[in-house]
Formats: sequence, C-alpha cells, structure tokens
Amino acid sequence: MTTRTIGAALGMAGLLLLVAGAAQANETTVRWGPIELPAAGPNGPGQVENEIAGASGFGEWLVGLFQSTADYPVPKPCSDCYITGIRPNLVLEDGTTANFNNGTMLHHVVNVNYDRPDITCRPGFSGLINLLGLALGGNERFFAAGNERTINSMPSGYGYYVRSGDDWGLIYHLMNMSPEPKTVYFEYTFTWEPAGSGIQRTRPMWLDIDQCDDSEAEVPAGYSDITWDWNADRSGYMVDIGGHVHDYGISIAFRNESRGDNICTSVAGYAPGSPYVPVGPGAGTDATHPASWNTVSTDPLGIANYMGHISDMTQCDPFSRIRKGNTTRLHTQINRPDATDHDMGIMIGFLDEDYCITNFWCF
Amino acid sequence: MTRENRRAALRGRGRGIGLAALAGVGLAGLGIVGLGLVRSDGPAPSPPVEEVPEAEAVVAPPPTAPAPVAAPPAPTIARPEAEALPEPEPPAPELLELEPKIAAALENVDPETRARWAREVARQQAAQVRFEQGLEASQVRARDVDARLRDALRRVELVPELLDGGLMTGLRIQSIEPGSPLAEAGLRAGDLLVRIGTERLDDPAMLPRVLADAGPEPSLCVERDGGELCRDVDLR
Repeated sequence: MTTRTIGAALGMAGLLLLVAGAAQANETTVRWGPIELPAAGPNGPGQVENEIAGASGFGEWLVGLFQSTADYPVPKPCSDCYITGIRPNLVLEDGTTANFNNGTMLHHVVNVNYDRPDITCRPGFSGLINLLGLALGGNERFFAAGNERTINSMPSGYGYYVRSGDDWGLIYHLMNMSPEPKTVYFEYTFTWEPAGSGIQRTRPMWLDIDQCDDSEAEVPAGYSDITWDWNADRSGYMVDIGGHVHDYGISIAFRNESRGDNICTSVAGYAPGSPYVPVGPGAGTDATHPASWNTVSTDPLGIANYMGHISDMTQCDPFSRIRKGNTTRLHTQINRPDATDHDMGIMIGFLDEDYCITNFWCF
Repeated sequence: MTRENRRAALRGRGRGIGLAALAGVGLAGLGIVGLGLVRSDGPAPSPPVEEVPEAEAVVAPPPTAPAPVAAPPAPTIARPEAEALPEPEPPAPELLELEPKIAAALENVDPETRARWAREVARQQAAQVRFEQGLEASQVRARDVDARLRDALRRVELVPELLDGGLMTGLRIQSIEPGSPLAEAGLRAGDLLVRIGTERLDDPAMLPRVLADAGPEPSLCVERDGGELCRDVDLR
C-alpha cells in the first residue's frame, strides 16, 4: 500500500499551512489478491467466476455453499475517512495492466462493505444479495467495475464514508483467454480525505436490471430496452452516477419518472471499427435515451488493449432531486446479434440524502 | 391531540399492523414480501438461443461432441435392505415458497439461525411500518428537524435495537465520526441512545416528532456499561 498527499503543488505548501482546517486530499493505492486464473482450454477461457473475498466466519461458510471463496484480506485504503475518487484496475504480478492484449479480462468486480446494509437489496430472503446481507451482517455494494474500468470521481465536497470497523469484500468474475495460467491482482487507487474535513456524506445506490441476484440477465437478439423500477424510499440529490453494460450495449440511463427527469445516461464507448458495436439499424436513440457510442477519447490504458471490446462508460454528476415516493427507472439499451443469458445493466449512484435516522428510516 | 395521546394512537395503530406483519411469520412469508422493487422487461424475449460466451472468440472452439450412443442397460444389483439409503428429508415447510436456490442455501443453515434471521427480518419490517406511519401521522419533514441537529446526527450511524412488533430499546451508535459534535460531547460507538430530553426512544413511530421537537440544545441520554449517561449538546 502506498500513500501520498496530492492536495496541492509543493510550491503552494507554505500557503496551505496558513489555511486553518484546509482539507488534504490523499491518494492511496491498494492491491488485493493474488488470484490464480487457470489457463484457457479447449472448452473456453480459464475463469474464476463469482468468487467472493473478504468474508469470514459463519458468513464465509454460508456464502461458500453457493460461491467459491478466496482467503486473502481486502484492506481499506483508510479508516474514518471519506473516499472521493476510485480508479480501479486489474494487473499482472509485475504491475502490467491485465487486459485483452495479454489474454485477460476483468469481467466484473463488485466492492462490498459487509458492515452496512445495501439500501436497494435490504438483508433478507428475496435474493442472493439479500441473503448475503443476512449471513455476513451487511451487503452494501458501493463500487463496481467492468473491463472498461470506469473511474469514479465525486463532485467536490462529497464522499463515501469509511468507518474504522468496516470490513470490505469483493465479488468478481475474471477470465483468462491465454494458454498459460496467470496470477492477477486488483489494484485500486483511492483519493480520500480524513473525517472532520467537512465532506458531505453520500449513500451508494445500486441499480440493476437483475437487482438482487447475480446481475446476469437474459437478453434476446436485436434491440432491447430492459427496465427496472425503484420506488424511492428516501429523498435527496443524486450527485454522482455511472453505468456498466456489456459488449453490444448502447447505454444505460436512470430516470425519475415521477418528475420526468433524465438523471443520467451513461453511454458505452468502443474503438473505431470495433466488432462489438451495437448492431442493426437504429440503435434505439430517442429523446429520452440519447445515445452515441463514439465516446472513446483518451484512455490511459490504450484503446488497442481492449481489442474492440467496450472500453468506456460515461459518468454524470447530475445533482438531480429524488423525492421519497418517486418512481425511478433504469433503462438498459442493448442491440445484440445473438441472445445471451448473462448480460448486465448496472448503475451505481451516490445520493446526498435529506436525512435518514437509520439506514432505512428516512424522510 | 396531546403528544401522549398521539403516541398512544400511533402505538395502537402500529401494533395492529406490526402484528399483522408477524401473523404470517416464517421464511415463506418473508421471502415474498416486496421491498418496493419492481422489475419489468421491455420487449418480449425471443425464444431461447444458445448463448455465445463473451470471450469465446479468442480461444479455440471446443471439439464437436460425439453423437450420443445409447448406453447398455445397467446390470441390476439388489441392494441389501440394511444398506438402503434413507429418503431425503423434505424441505422445512417454511422454505417451500422461497426461490429454489435461496431455499437450498438455507437448508444448510441450522434451524435456530434460520429462526433468528426470520425474527430479525420480521422485526425490521414491523419497525419500518411503524416509522412510516409515524412519519405520515406527524407530517414532520426533514426540514422540521433543526438543521444543526440533523447535521450532527448525519455524522453518527444509528442502528435500532429492535423488539418484536417493531418497538425498540434504543438506537445503537454504530459509528461516530471523530471530531463531530456528538463525539465532542462525549458520545461514542457502542453507546445505546435511549432518550432525547424526556422522550424515550422506544418506538420508531415517535422518532420524527421527537427529533422535530428536540431543538438545537438536546440532552442525549445513552446506556453505557449498565448505567445511563446524559449529555447536553449545544449545537448553536
């Protein structure tokens, strides 16, 4: 784990000392792993599918009944602090980014806080994620990444609070298309500020077309607009939100139907000439779902590494109002050449709540 | 209506619904209680088509499977009566209406734990009903709670210690942000917040009104180490 302060240029340091109480932004990089990926074989890629890390005790035993478990720890970048930015990555042992160019794929990873309940999948018996919350004591999904590795950056003054007692975990699916086994690690860089720095607390909201299960949905060939509704049980402002779809995905949008407000459309980006661009005439763009998949601009990993697969999802800082009782709707637009049973449509937003007394007793 | 009358009325109404919520107790009932989540798919799905794994194009396709050949009939071996396997136990009745994979996972959980979980979920549902009723009856909004108190409480995470029927013994301080007003007042993680002023925090239905009436100088009382400790918090 490496930590460095990036609050200001060195030349400004003297000036900053004069500003009492000025917040310091810190940057910490953590590695989680190792994860051993089997070699690809005649039946397909080597995979570690829906493995869970960071669980312990009885919860680990229960989860192990239907998922594989990993025994490496998942340390946090900081405690009693506010995370203000997350840059996810998957790397090989030597630190090289693991991507399609070297035969690996970060199919997905979900970051979970086992000490807080997920507000859209309350611990209970309805689905796997609910049950996970009962078994482990908490199931708050606060971040996720696909191979496009979208960077989260909260608007200034907002953050996700990390308690000293929080236990973190991961749920992930990784693939190896190369003929030799590979060892990989998650490598995340967090930007954060300490408690007491006046950051406004936000609540992560997981929105998913397969909401409380394994996030994998059946999607037919051709154009689909798959929706999922959430009746808001709290009021607040959505300050930050981004999405994740698979190849052939056009976009994923979150709308407040009660207020007629398009909160965010997160659009998929593909390299020019990509064979995975949504197919068919008319990709479904309409007034409420503006879509344009040519969003690839600059990518630190290099577009070539994606080999035409989805490489970007746009993100929004909408500051949109949601009132308790509003009907909100997720729209996932896909135009596939074939059907599948494991497409995804996920958004994670961060809500600045008006006020909740507990996790669920909200105004 | 006086505050005590309101409290009694809310208790009566809440209890009725709380009991109703508990009437069907058991995992079966709990498993199908909606949480306000609705999924609707847009277009009608096409007939199932064999999927193509995302990364399959990168690896060699699997060899074609040989055509199935009828297996020869297995020789009949009489199993001695003493070695006969017992019939599998039917699933517990309360698991029958759950989604099959959830029920299957829960079958591996000892009945005591299952019952504890079911009780906890039932309590949470009953408490949620009570809270929402109290909110509606009181017409209190977030803005009715003193902004300084609200900001101070946002730096504290509270988890209710629930009883059957959705009542509670208090709100456990799960975490408290270092340097925040309530931490400065001497409250700490692990304390059980039991009173604000003279109002006991034993009913979720009363919380909106209690908070709205608390003002910027509340006296917060917690249980700690078997005793009660009160702190006057000046948020002005």
